[in-house]
Amino acid sequence: MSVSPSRLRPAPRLGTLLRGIPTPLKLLLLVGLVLSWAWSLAMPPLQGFDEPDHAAYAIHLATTGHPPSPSAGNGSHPPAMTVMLFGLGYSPLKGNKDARPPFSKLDEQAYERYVDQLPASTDSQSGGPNPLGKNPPLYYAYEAVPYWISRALGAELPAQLTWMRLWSSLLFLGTIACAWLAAGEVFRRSQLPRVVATAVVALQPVAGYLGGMITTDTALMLGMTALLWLTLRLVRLGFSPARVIAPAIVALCCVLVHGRGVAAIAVFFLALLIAFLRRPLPRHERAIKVGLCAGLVVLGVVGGALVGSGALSGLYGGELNFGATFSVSRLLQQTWEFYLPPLRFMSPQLGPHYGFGDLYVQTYFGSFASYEVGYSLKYYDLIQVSLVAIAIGVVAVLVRRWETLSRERWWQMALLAGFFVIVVGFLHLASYRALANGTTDPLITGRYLLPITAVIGIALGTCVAAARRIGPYLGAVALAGLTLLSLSGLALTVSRFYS
Amino acid sequence: MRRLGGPALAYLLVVLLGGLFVGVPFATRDRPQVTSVPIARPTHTVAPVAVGQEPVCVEGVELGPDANAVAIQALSAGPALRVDVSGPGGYAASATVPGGYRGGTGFTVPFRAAPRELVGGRVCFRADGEGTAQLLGGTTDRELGTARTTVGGQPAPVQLAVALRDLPQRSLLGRVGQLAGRASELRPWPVVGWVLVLLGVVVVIGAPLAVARGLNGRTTGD
Repeated sequence: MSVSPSRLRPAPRLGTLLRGIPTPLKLLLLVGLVLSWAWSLAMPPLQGFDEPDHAAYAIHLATTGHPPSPSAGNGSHPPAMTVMLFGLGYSPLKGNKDARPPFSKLDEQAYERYVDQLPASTDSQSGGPNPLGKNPPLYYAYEAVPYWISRALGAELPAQLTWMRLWSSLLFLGTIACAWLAAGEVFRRSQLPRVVATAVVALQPVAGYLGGMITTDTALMLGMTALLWLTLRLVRLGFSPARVIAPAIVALCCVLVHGRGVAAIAVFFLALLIAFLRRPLPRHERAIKVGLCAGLVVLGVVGGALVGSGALSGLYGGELNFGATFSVSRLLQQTWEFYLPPLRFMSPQLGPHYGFGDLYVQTYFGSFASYEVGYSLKYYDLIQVSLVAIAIGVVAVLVRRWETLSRERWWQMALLAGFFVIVVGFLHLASYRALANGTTDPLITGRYLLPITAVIGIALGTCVAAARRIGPYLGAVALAGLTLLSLSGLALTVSRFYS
Repeated sequence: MRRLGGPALAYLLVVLLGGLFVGVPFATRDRPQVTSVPIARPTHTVAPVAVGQEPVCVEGVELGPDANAVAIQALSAGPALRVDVSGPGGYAASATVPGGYRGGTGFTVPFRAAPRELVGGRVCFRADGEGTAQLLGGTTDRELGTARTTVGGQPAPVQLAVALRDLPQRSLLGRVGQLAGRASELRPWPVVGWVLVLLGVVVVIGAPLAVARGLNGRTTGD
């Protein structure tokens, strides 16, 4: 078979690819990189949310090829990690503002003496019980790569953990890139709103923090932001095989990252519905039909295989169900009481008093380390006022331009609103389910909102674009606020652990 | 670099003002310097440690030139306390806490620092007179660190919360090198102190400039 010369074009060089990236995106990627790396190196090892368990999962998967068990096994953490946690004091350090990590070379030497006594190849002794064993393995397989490489190069556990964190930060960069692409779908040629929307993702304090940790939250944020971009593209351009298969695969990846990724399936089907309503399938375009079917088949086959194998009943540790006490009216009441004072006929809120400010303000914008590092209360008030102002701005834009938007952009608005409602609604559902089944932890916290950060960025970008004179200045001030929050979070963390 | 547009300048102005009015006071305010925390204050379950004539000691403490004060907290009024600090190689120092203090009082008790780093040191407390002092401690495993509390040489069920400090107080800015050195512990090459300082400078100065340059895109035609 002969190949035409045009098909033998050399692959573009890295330099060419990098030059093709728009300058604002390059700059925001650099900002994301330095922020997430600063977090990686400012936080002592194993102090991120559930970080020992995440790291132990990745190490066990890397050494045995199997995930750890959530309920039983030969050890929750590799022995060297147990030494770090309990011998060097990283476990009592967690959440205790008065504790400090080991500072001195003597501590380092003590750790090395401990570890030298361990038999070789003990990392596989981390088969469980690990509460995160119920998570799917995709993110941990990704994290196995730096573990393998650093271990092959002779690094010990503390160094391995650092490399795993730095590697994880690449997912944060991917999130920023996807936010740029998603914003491009909405703002097209308007550069400033696009920059503002993307910068919201790059500068979101908790996103930067978790971008530097070993955690599935960053991977899920990437998956959901990529899904947002691909589904926005699907509803704008209509059906094609690639436009259907790509978001289907990304949705599947979200499912394979974390239980909260199940919301991605609903987002994907919502996008299909909106795309169909906007541009019904042409009868004779077989390729489009094939693409659509293929996307659905990917999901169907995998879902069917999981159901057929009985794995679905055990998926996410058997938590993929509504529980025995599920009630739609109680769920709606619980959600109402989360945001608003209860009405007279409503039952008291289940679990501790927990609401809008705790979720959208305190833990979404400013809870670091193991929740013990945060800003002064007045700054949370300022964040809350800013969020309400943005929400009012978005409503004002919608009211003012309703006629144009509802005619020309309804599909985009429907997808963005649907994305927000699905992700947040899923969190409320999971929270209600947990509380109704007897737990006291509402299981809903700010970092779970990270997947909607790009939507919030687009909302701010919309305000910037709509208010042509003062919009850019308001956007700039909002970004300055986020920058200050990010830098403050880092400074507070450094002070908490090392001063 | 091309001239910055209005939004970029507004962004830089707000960041600068925030830095001046919040960041600079935070970085330059003098604050206690913690050398190490052998046993941290409990996060949940507070339990009293009774200190009478029998010495209550925290064993396995690291001493050195930077550890010249010990911080404890009394839960109730009590007698004067004698503090004895000792370590390998014959190092010993002592100090006294006067009686008449109230419950909830935190003490930072100065003592003569060890001339060099000493592993396996000990800080002991005993009442200097009649009566028993009740000091802050904890019982749950979560509060257990590497050091251990003993009473009369025997392991105690309640761990005495103790922190070692370096007097006088200093600002974060004045200790940048020390903080970076501490953060670089247990990190792989090339993560050393000066690299972290450099990264900090890039974060504090470079990141806002990059965002401002990105905001400038519309006016420069990027």
